[in-house]
Amino acid sequence: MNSIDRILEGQMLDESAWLEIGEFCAYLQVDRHWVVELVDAGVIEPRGPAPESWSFPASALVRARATARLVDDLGVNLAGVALILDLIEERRRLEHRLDELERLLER
Amino acid sequence: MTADGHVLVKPRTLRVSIPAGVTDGQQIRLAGQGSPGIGGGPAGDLFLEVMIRSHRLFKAEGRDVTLTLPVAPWEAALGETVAVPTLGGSVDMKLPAGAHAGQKLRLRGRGLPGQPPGDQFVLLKIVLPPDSPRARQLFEQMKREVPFDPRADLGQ
Repeated sequence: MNSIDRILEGQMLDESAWLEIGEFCAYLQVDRHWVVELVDAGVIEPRGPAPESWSFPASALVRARATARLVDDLGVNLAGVALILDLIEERRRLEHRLDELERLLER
Repeated sequence: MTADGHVLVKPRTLRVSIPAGVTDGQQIRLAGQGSPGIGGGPAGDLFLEVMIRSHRLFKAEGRDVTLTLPVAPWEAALGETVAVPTLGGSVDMKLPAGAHAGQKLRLRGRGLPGQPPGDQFVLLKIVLPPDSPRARQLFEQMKREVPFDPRADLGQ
């Protein structure tokens, strides 16, 4: 069977999906120390008291991946990354709101 | 990765079933569909980030959807039952008598599926019938017989 004929079933990572730190590192293929650095810099926020019991929302995967690109490709430091990601998210939220308002005006 | 250590990029197309209730910004993890491991190791996972394209009728926000529903002035005034499109097909909705433009009505549980499912909000938009001698005649009659100043609150 051609691979394009096969329909893949994926795992949905919604807001109810919290990932244990081991799973989080495995998904990102990164070292635990790097994740601790991201938390210390305020890039991602864990749930739980100590690193070994931390878990992360699935949305932290997106932020962690974006961090890797900003650090590796642009040489941004982690404090800068946290600020950039917050601004990108805020911009997205505003774009969304603007779309909504423009649609209301069109009607 | 080639034997001499170069990275080869080979695009491929996959058919993926989209789980019901997925919302904007969520991810779908496809185990083993990522890049092959180093030295013949197992492949990583492929993560898809979902972006919901806006729809002509429905606007999704999280699991809630909003639809703007055009209604005739008499449907709003009298509180008629009207057919409303929802994601699961058309449903009948009774408008409250005296409904006004911009009023938002809620159809509980008619949004995107999930635990709990979202709601559908119906935003009322009052539209006038096309201009015709008969419509004009009836509006003239209302003008004469229904005392109403829509700008009374403006205090002018």
